[in-house]
Amino acid sequence: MKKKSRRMTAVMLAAILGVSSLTACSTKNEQEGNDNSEASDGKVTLTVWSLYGTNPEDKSAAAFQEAIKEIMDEDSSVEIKLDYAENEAYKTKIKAAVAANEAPDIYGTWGGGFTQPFVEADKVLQIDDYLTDEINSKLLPGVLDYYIYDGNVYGLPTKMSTCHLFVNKKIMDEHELKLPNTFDELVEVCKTLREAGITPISLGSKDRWAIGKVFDMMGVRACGIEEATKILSGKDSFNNPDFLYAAENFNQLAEVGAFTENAVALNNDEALADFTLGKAAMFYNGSWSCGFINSDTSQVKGDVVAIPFPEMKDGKGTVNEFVGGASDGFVINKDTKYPDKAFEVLQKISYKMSLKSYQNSLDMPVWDLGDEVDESKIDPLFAMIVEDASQSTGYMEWWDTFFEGSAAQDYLYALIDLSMGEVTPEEFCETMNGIVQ
Amino acid sequence: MGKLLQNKKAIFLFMAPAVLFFAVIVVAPVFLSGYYSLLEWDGMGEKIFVGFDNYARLFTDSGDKFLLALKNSLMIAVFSLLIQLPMGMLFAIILSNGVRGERFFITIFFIPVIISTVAIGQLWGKIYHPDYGLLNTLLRNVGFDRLTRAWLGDKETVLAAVITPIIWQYIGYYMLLFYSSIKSVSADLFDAAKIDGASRIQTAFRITIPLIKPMIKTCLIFSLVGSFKTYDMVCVLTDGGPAHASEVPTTLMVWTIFKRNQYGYGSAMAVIIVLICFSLYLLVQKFFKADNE
Repeated sequence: MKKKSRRMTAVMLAAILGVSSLTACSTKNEQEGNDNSEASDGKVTLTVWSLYGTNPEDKSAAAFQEAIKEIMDEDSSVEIKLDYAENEAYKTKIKAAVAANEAPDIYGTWGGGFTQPFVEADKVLQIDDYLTDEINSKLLPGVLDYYIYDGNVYGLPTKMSTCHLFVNKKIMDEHELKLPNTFDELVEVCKTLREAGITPISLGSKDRWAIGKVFDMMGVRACGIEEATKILSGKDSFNNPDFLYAAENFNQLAEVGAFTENAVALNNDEALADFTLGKAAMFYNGSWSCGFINSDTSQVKGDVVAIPFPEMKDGKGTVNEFVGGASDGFVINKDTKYPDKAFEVLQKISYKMSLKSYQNSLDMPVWDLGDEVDESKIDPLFAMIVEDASQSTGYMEWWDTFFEGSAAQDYLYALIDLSMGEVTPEEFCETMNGIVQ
Repeated sequence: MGKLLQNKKAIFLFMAPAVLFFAVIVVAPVFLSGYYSLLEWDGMGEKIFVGFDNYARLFTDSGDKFLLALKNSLMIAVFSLLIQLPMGMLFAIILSNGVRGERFFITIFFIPVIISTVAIGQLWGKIYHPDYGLLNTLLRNVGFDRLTRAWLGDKETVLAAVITPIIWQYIGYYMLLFYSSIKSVSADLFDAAKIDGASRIQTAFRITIPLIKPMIKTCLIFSLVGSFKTYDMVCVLTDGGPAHASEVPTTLMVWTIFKRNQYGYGSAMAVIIVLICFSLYLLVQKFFKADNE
């Protein structure tokens, strides 16, 4: 009897252990899988993922944090939970989450090729019905282009970005060089600087997108937007003489030592740091770098001017064509419990980010901001970019978002091979042909 | 207790939670990867069953660099065996012989193991910097200007530059394992050897090493399997670059899955990595078993 009861106790204990550990597991799952829960006080909780962390030096991130805080203050019925990661890591994270159906309600993404697989897998909420005439009239023309798939709109951009060539005037003056207006002049400038022992163009191609930005622009200068679009979408060959011309010119830059010596081992932040420490004469990157270049900790504050990438002698593109546009933005998860609320928040994020990015001299807006901006506070460096952009005759999407996943990666790798002299320009064009087919 | 163990139901019930946990967290993902590796799948859209095509591609498509990545891992493994373990052993034997400041040196050698790999990667990244890096500065100052280069940016040197910190980092780890193992050997044996007139080298090869064989086996497994699983240091220093020159299977796998959106193909790489690690484990086991007989 005694033995039996002891055995019973053991079995029961085991059972309790088993059951309790199971329930422990399941509650955990619920918490993880179910991001949007309505609390007892009727508050709607939305999860938002973005690139924008809490680094105070990163002004785009600060603007985003501020915008989210304002949204919650304005509407007490909504609570927003944030999560973020650094650029490359974020891209990995969001892809994994979307694939596993664990994406947050609203998340930051890039228009074009990056979001395309999400839309094709039917994971993104279509927002055409929410776009009233009033909203449409306040959006600047053409800004939704990269978020339209099969004629439907799937997201809202937050800002217009483009890349410019930042030039440290002080270094140029010291070596009695003038700002390059043509590509040939740029090559000469780079040669002179390299001989003087100064890095001509700071580049961090361990972040592969950074080297992509340079070639995207050179491709557009050589081919013009119309032809470049044709080539990239496979309607024309990469062996096209204009594309080859772009590759040859890029190769020439690499050969004269225009880029940082160990660019492949540096990331973009390190390249930017080299530039803001005055160790490099030029830096080709997005308008978002203005905030860093003219920040109080920068040693080149006030010495830098921004110019468009110079024209090429035999190129078909003009100096007023740009790469970039309204690519950065947010989309809504199709599985969100509160699509109406989510759109409300999405629209606010988009508008507020536009306003703050512009006011803080980071990026250009996608909304008609009316008179909400104090133009006198705009950074002079940024104003140069805005001025050039206002002359723009057209934008082409960043090539690494124009292509889909694997083609984008193969393009960037082929480019690194070219920059290291591993392949000839002809071989590069041939590789690109293989990638896009 | 004996009665309880005879009761199969009780055993089952007690083990169920742990087994379940293990199955969900460890076993299931391995088999899922095995399943994914037979698909052509971008992670989201349609899954197309392609059988063993992904595996065939791993070993035939030279553009995808998987063989190169395997070769690089093999290099890491070879250098671990030839440098890391012998160095760890050497330090352990010297220190266990009663050197002044024994604990102090142990702590010093163990420091790299405690520091996070990311920090070590950053440190070495700075050492290799072409302009102000320690290595190039040193070379310039002793007049070897011609040898200076962008160590991590040069396809010729990048692999050696990445392997060095990987090897260096864990010498202290193996040293500590060997050291504690030597310390657990009875002191009588060493005293007896001394009385018989054995030299230090004889003692090391005839007494110390044979007696800590089980620990050597463990370290060998750690070191070999670790070489094929290396990810962090490569990721921090070069992320497989430049142009795939320092790619290892794990970095290639992450890149394939998350950057190129090829889940099936990347999973095939994962399966191969698991198989390699497992067979290395079995190989070492077998080697030591044969040795014992």
